[in-house]
Amino acid sequence: MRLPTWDEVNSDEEQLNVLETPLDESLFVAGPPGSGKTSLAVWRAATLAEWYKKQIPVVTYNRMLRRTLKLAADDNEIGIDVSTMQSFVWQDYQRRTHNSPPTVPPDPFAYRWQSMIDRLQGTEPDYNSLVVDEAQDLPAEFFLYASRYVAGTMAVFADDDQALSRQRSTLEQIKMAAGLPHPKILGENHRNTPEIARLAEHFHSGRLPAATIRRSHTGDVPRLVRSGSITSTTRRIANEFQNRGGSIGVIVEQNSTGRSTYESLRDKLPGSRVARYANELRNEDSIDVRLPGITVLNKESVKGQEFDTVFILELDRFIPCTSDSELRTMYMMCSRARDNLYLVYGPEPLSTEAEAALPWSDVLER
Amino acid sequence: MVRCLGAMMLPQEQTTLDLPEPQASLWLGLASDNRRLFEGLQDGWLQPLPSRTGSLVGVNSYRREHQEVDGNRIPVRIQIDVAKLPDLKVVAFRNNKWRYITLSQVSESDVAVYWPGVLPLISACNLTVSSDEQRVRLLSIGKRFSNIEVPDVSVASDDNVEATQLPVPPPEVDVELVIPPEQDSIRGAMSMALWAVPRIDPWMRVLTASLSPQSKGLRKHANVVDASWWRFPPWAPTNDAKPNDVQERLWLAALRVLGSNDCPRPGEAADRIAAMALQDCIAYEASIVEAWRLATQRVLRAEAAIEFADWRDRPVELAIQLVLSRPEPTAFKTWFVEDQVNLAPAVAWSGATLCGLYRGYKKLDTRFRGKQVQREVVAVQALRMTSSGTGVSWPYVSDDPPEWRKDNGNFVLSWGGWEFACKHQQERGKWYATDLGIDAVQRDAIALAKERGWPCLSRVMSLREGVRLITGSGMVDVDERTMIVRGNVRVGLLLGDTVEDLIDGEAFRRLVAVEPGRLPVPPSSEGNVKSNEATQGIPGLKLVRDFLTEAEEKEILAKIETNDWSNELQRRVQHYGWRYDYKSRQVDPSMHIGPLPDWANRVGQRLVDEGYLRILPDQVIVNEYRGNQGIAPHIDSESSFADGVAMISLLETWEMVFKKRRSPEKGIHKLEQRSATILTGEARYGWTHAIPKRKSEPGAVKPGNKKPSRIPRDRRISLTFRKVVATIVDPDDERAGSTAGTRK
Repeated sequence: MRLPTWDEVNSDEEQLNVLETPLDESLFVAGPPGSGKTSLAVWRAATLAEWYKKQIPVVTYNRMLRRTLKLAADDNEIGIDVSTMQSFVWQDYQRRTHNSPPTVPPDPFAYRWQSMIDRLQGTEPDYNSLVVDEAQDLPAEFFLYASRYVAGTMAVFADDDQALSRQRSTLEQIKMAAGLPHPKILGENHRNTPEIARLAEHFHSGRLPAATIRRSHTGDVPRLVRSGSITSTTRRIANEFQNRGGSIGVIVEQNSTGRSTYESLRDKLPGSRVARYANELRNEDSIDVRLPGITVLNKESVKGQEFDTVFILELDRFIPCTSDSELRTMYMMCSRARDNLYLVYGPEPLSTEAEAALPWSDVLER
Repeated sequence: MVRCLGAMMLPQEQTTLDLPEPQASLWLGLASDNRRLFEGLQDGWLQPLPSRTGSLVGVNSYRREHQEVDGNRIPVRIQIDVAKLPDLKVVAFRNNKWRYITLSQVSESDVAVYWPGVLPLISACNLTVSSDEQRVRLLSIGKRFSNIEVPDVSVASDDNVEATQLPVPPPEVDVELVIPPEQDSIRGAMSMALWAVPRIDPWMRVLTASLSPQSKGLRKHANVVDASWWRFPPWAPTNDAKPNDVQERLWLAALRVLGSNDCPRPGEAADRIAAMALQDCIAYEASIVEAWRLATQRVLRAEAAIEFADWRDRPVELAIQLVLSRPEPTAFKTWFVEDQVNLAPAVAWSGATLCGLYRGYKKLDTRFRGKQVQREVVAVQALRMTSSGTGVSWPYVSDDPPEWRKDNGNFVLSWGGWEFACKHQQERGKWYATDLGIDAVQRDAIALAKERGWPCLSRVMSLREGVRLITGSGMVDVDERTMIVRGNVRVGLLLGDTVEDLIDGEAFRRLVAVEPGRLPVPPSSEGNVKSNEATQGIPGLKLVRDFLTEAEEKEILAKIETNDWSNELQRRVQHYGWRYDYKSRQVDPSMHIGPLPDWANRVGQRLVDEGYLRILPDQVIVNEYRGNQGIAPHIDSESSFADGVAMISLLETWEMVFKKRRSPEKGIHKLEQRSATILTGEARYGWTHAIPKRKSEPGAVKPGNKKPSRIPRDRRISLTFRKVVATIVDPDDERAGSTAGTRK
């Protein structure tokens, strides 16, 4: 994970307040993509672990995010213990009661929170602190459970702009359930170049204001590319990789496109890291998206990830956006890119409606 | 004489002679908060508060900069050693009056000093906070920033902070210490040039000559390696520069555009560099510049890949394309180690240096800044190379040019008597230093030159005395020194006649310095070291069973258990000899703890005596692995530790996984209880090693079973023995302390 320079953060009062929060206080942080929540979560867990001289559990939403957190920690040889919320709760409950958590059939992960909470009545939390990332995707009941029975203080990181899952909690619900202070709202974007952020904001529809860009002008304007075939698309991706190196994310809408893009790239770049992630492949542990190389994934899996360069393929399937949730998807995908962003369509020209949904050429070069 | 690596061998009297009389150490103290500290730590220059021209500091006490520390900010006390500051005119508060004096006249009886201008934090300053919680928080916040490294922080009560205001506010003074804006890009370029310099003699000459006051000898050294444009170093004024060709033109244009303060975007920068290079150039050159501009724009749009094939004709064109494609040094780094190991050194080094110029020092990741001594030296020297930086005289800077020398497989750089960097010699440097007079070396050199098509070989026919039969339709005329053949002939040779390849040693060494591509390890004349287990596939890996006896294992464990464990990592660790910074992945002279304990010294000595290590190790890390704990694939820091790493396994037998860099090749080896595992050469530098995170280890295969049984893990203790390189400070010299350097 790329760390900012001090000058990029020094006027971001909210971020500094988060960093300076004393270690025995709970912390609640919300912010748009790119404001650095995930990396702050890892950092807070490591700091607390050093202070308490004990591991601090970290909980997140899905396996790909868990992997991201683990890698971020490994990078700095920081020891943190990351689980998905489902497995954390399962193990925690099992350990305390020697029973599996009761569920609502047929879903083995639909926990009956109320009966679990009742059952644990009178027991004490046994961790000093708990860190939760992507909290907006977790059910509010989890926070009630965690604040009562898991840890004395909590550090919770949430985003209410990019929820793609069914179980979403609002900031207010999380705050009430976990008994947290008011959220500190991170308002600045440290991930994207201003050029990329401007394009992402074109699709912004969230309740939180779009972030103020903090990175200096070092990047070029995102580009709209029409491509005649998968081969010509992958040639360009391979060029980009050879020229710039770094991590490249290729986002597709259809799994079939993902497969053929992956195969074509693998043939063009033997010896380099080319990987494809899909939820059903369950291969997240073999992928390190931050290493130099290319990762092909779909819009669900790209959430929470960050790449030096992003290619969004099949643009014609993502725009024009007809709902808030489609706008959010475009916003979320664009904001995955740190330095360079390409929107790719073709071989057919864009429809008039799709064309109209795109910003002018000073924001998106054609 | 320079005192450093070899200093330990000097007699004690001699080391004390050249030090100044010990005097009561004077320091200036500022009580401020974490935000001001970080502001200053970015590049080591703490600007005065807005609307001030300087900073009010205490003498051997702390002066509060703000009345109150806001919110959750962390109050920090900063201590600066007076001996490390330039002798500027200051105002001192003495006997209730402000007096104009120079810094060297400040004495303990002064209450406070008003420092005129920027306050230097470039020397390792001492930091103090009031509680452990503050210390953990401060260090931890510092880790969030790529361009900050917080020095050691101590914890003490804040009684020596002067809370009362002075009866008279300080008078205004002329600002003495100003940092001109160009200092930052010059310093960035110097840092990256030092980081990326090809580790081979001719390039070391170019580097040191380029940093010399009048660039003495630079033109000659640059021509030797076909890098004529280096006669215009990024840190020297280029106003009167007269380019000889289009590559030099582009280089000069890039220096101006990338070194300017407004930081254009890559696409824009390419246009501006082209426009500047086009000024006053002839039509032929103009067509090259324009073609380069268009090609660069295509590269930036990913329409084409950078074309490296004709690097000889357009080295600067490629270097600039590299930088514009990867404007951040962190991304640039992978050019060298992963994606484009085939870069010619001239292109790679020029690109890296431009990258530092473009990025500047203040934003530069700390990993590219070198060790503390280098940071200080580069800060002051870069300042001296700016227009306004020449007037101030610094206590540890001289006008001597920088120098380099080779020491035990390392290039050691010094400047004004300060050894500030130590670069491990790699394959190129080793080839350069090989003796082509040794048969095996010459054979491999010829094979290498043939494989790469290097123009340094000739074929020679050696004939013994006698008559040879010539057949064929052609004619041969022979006089004393020539043989002229017309048409085609065949010469019948006698037994003992030979046709062989000869290598031109000088040409070969020059090619080693300039040609692209990773080189193989040259043959060495060193004796074979013994090993008692075959480790085919991983050259340089040795596994030595039963290196310790059971009694020794017990004794060492007992010693370790009585010592304190550090919890800074997921697993518990103990450090002996030197601390290791897991964030910056380096060892600094300030991290010297002391000599190794007896048990560790004995084991280290045995590793050397039995031929497993060549140098006596001076650092030991004890790692405790419990249950499913492991360690991610890594290579031990190349800049911190010498070749030759030994790991000794106690308590249990676990597997270690080795993986070749940039290759799917893997190897798994059991590290037997009480065995030693030795990594040298390729195994040390070319393979990662890891302990998998899992709950059990494979045991023996039981009769009737195909798979081995699994043995649950409990606890393994690993002792890693290494030699810290660039031991810049004499570890026994207490006076040098944390200032990390010694003088002539």
